[in-house]
Amino acid sequence: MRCLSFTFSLLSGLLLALPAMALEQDEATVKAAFIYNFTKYVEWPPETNGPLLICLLGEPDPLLTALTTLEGKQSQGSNIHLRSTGRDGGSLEGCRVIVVGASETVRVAAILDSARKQPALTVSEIEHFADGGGMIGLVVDGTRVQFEINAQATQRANLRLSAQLLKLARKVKP
Amino acid sequence: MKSSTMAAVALSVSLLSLIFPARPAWAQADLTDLSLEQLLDVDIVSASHFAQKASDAPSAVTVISSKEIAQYGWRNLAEVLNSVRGFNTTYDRYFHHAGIRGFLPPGDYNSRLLLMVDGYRANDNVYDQASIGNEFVLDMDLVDRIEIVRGPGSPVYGGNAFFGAINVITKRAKQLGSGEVAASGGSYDTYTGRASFGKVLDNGMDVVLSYSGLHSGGQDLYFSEFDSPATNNGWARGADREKANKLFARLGMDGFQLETAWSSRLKGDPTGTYGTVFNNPGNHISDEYGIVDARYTDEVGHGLELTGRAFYGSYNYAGNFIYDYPPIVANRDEAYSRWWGVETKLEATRWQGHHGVFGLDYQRDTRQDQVNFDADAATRCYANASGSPCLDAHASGYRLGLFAQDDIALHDKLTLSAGLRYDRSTVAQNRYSPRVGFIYKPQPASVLKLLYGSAFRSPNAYELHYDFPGTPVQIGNTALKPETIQTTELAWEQYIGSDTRLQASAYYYRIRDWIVQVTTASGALQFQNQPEVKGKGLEFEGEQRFANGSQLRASVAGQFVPDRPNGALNSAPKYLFKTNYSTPIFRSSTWRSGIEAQYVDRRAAPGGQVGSYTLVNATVLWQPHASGPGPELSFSAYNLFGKYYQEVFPDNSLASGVPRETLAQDGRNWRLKYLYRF
Repeated sequence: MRCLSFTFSLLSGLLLALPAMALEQDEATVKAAFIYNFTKYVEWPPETNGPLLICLLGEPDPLLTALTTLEGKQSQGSNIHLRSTGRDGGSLEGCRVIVVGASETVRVAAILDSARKQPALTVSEIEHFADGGGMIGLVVDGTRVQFEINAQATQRANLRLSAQLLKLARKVKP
Repeated sequence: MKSSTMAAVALSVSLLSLIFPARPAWAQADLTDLSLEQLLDVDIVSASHFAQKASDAPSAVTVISSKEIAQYGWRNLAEVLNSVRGFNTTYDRYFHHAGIRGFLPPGDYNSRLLLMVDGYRANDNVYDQASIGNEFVLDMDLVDRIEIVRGPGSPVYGGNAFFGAINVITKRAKQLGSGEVAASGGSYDTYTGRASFGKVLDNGMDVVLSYSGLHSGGQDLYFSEFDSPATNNGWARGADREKANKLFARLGMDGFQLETAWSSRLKGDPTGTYGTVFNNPGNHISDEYGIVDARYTDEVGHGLELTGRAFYGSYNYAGNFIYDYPPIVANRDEAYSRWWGVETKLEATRWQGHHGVFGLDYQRDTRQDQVNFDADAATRCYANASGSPCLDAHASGYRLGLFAQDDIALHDKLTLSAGLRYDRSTVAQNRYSPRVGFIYKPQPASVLKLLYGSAFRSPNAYELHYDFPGTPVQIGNTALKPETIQTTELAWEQYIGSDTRLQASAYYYRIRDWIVQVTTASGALQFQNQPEVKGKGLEFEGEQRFANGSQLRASVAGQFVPDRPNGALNSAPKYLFKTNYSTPIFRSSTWRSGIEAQYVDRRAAPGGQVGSYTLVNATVLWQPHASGPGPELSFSAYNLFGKYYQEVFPDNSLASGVPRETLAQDGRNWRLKYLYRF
């Protein structure tokens, strides 16, 4: 038995001595990359101007943290800026994307109500987000990230999503 | 614990000490450079499933992905379950038997586990068997993921979800490229082949078609209890053969899905069980399973999702057993079962702070027939020397279930999950199964759950109606009552950063009216209700992933159920210890190895105990194009160190008159597998 354990350790040690590229990615990083991509497919109302401000609403969690790496990136010719609004929502003024953190599961409806005043794209990984009035919900299906769109909510906010985005969505709620 | 347990612990500690410092600096590719289409294909690690699962999971759910199936070279569900916390499986050269939560009566047909494929029930309606060997209806290559729920789970699951539910979810067309072919060869003259086709049509219809075949010559096996010149000196040659064919098809479009699966398997019997003629190629069993399932899901209002489904299933079993009465006669033991049913479920998310599920399922068992006869025109039953079959039992019945569950957010951090299920059937009148859980999330990264659930299982047609006049005599028992279980569980899950997951759970259960096969005063075998069995257990699991793409999962389960509750035998181990480690090798993203080690504690056997063992399996996988078109090659070695170990054999009525208590399990064996994706 000791011999077995030794062989096994040796074997795994050997394998470990050879680091390599990861095949799998961190869920939060993938979701952040999705959100970055979404910003390229949204047409905001013509009167919207200023930087592409992404507001992060909620207690810090892996996704909100991963999103902070988007600061300064370019999308549709604008620079991306991030604002953490904490749990109380702070000011949503000027937000073009509002990401609702996982900590806000219970308050989603109230947040969406107050976000309605803004022409902002609402995105979240909270379950049934798109069904519950949010615009884009990120969902994990097995080992992959997918997204669902609530078309009615985007129309109400006067946002236009490209056909490409609608085509790739797992579900589009009319 | 004994020395081998300690060795297993030492093994994992040495593993851990080796890998924790080894965390190479690794520059992560910038995912924001990927397009949406590419992102949709990126695999994420399963660690943070909890963001989605924690609130609705009635118990800690284990999710096994297709990637792990490839990385560890698992050939059937039994091998998957062996790697999972708290499970162990045994093989009697007919079927694989799964032990869970310290419960494994020898020869049990896994009727206390609900097995589902894409949400439809895959237990048959005569034996209620959850098939986890090569007779399972689906090829492992078609599996996208396997969700394993422990405990009575959700009220959505009726009947057999006594100790747990296993849902096998199949791949969509996109995951099969436009098609795949695979072939493998391995020990015991075993070959498999598969051809699958997958396509998303222009109108959005998702089409999957697949055929798989398996041929195995099997092993030549030696049994000391048959070691005499009259019985080939104890050698069963060519009697362990196995053949299987599987077909699968699915059409899916929007909310609609039509799926059909069929499988047939023939397995030779080398063991000389039930007093049959040893080493006779005529001893074999066959299983044929088929299902058609149609389902439609639609949004019927704001936050209201309605699912309706209709299904039809059939299962045929035929055992061919050679007896020397004299004359030499083939005995046929057969079962024919047919069922259909409908299910409807409404899921409501429209009310803030509530997540409700309501539904109804109805199944009609149109045929649950069991027959046993000798293939002799004059004497149809040599066992009682009569001209009529030994057994000709016909049954039919129904079961109806109504269920409701609501997850109520009491507070930011506290959710109450309350559910109730009502069942009635031909054999069980008005059963209520309540389930209550409190889910407390003090921070987003930790979850504490307190759960109580009750479930029941109706006696099945086999337990109720199977009579056989042979030696020993088996008699049915139509007076059987359903057995019930009440489980209380406390579970805790903690995520540390995004790379570490820790989990602990403690459970206590009480089974009433336990249905178990006993030997009556007159020496006959009969299923009877036994008053009570109590069990308790503790489980710990840790999962760590590393920047270089390695993943480690280790678990220990201590499960304490009496070895001989009410005099019946329970041969589950007290301790289980598992380690799974998968890592990229050769400094490349295309090579990967998966190694698993499983320690199984000693188990109770009729005359005492069978010894503990540690099994090590290893796979090397070459995957130059992780999810795109191209080839894939893997080599697996099972029981790498050739550990000799035995399991309790369910039957000791051998013709030689020498009782057999245990059966040796497979030694070192291997498989080479090639796959090409178009």
